[in-house]
Amino acid sequence: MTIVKPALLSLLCAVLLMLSHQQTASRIADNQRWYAEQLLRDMVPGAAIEAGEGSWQLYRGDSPAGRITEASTRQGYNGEIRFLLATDESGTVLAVRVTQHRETPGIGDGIDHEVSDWISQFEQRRLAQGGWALKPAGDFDALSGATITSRAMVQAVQEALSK
Amino acid sequence: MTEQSLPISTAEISRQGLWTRNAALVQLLGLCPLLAVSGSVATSLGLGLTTVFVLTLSNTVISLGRSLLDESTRLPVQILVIATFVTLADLLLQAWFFELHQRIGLFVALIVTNCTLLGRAEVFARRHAVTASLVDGFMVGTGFLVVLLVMGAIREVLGQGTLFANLHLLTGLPDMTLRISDTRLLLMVLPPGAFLTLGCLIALKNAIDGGQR
Repeated sequence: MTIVKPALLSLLCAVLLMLSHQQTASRIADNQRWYAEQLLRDMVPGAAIEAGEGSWQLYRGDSPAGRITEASTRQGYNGEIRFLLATDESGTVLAVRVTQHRETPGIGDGIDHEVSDWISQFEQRRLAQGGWALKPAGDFDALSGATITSRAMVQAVQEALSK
Repeated sequence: MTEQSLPISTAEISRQGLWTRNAALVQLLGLCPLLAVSGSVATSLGLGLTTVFVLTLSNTVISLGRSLLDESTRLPVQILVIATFVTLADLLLQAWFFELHQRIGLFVALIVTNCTLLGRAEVFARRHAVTASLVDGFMVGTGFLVVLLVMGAIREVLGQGTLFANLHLLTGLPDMTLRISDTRLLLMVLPPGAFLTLGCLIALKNAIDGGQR
């Protein structure tokens, strides 16, 4: 019976993994939640964040202070760019953070806040004030060498604001 | 089992694992993780240590159970053992080094497909005693780790102008990023930079060995 020994070994491996999963599961879940919330807290320092349906409501004291929504674009250089957009009650942008992208390392990855602060030029912008295009047609600096990525982000944030 | 346990000294195992049969520089195994995570010292160290951990354990366990292995089922059994320890390492990383896992997580699962591991199980662990297999796993893993670290350091300095960036995610120590220069050689960050660096290291090793041939 050549099958018996591998079967027993499989069972042993399964038990080992089951036990280690049990031991680490709650810690891993805590880490994931903490990491996700950390990003939101960084976007709007000091505000209380309450999770809602596909978005987060912001409060300062007891009064609503805006919201954070998730959006994405496929107009980038390589695949989907997902980002979080925080706005206050009047629709002014508080912060934008890219959460997932596959833009070229060293060029298009400047949209990532950890790589460069390019993304901070969206802060304090309003939809109504116009200029939602790259210079010289609009107000936004492009990342050098990454015009497509930059244009995609400007358009995507504009679209997300107009929703 | 027809194959005999071959006696081999610890010094010889170490010499082969670290230098003469170095997995990355001579056998050219495990190139997928080697090329993918060698962009910085921090990611190199993270994945390298994980590989040492998995390789040492899988070699030991396969050697322990070597009398149970038979010809027809040994490959799936070896892969099963390796995959178990990779999953274990993945869970441990997520639980205790979550931010590092965010960066190298994709490649941790790929350690299963690192041919170095199955290679050591097949060539060494199933034919040698437990202690020798443990040492072999550790030494081959360390040889791989050292090459990863050297590549990580070269690519990080040339490509990003820093050294040891993000290392605190792994060690828990304060941020110890060194700013070496402001010149960033983009090529070194991209995949071709990994191939060029590896090629130079192989050439260097061959040049050093050249006198002995």
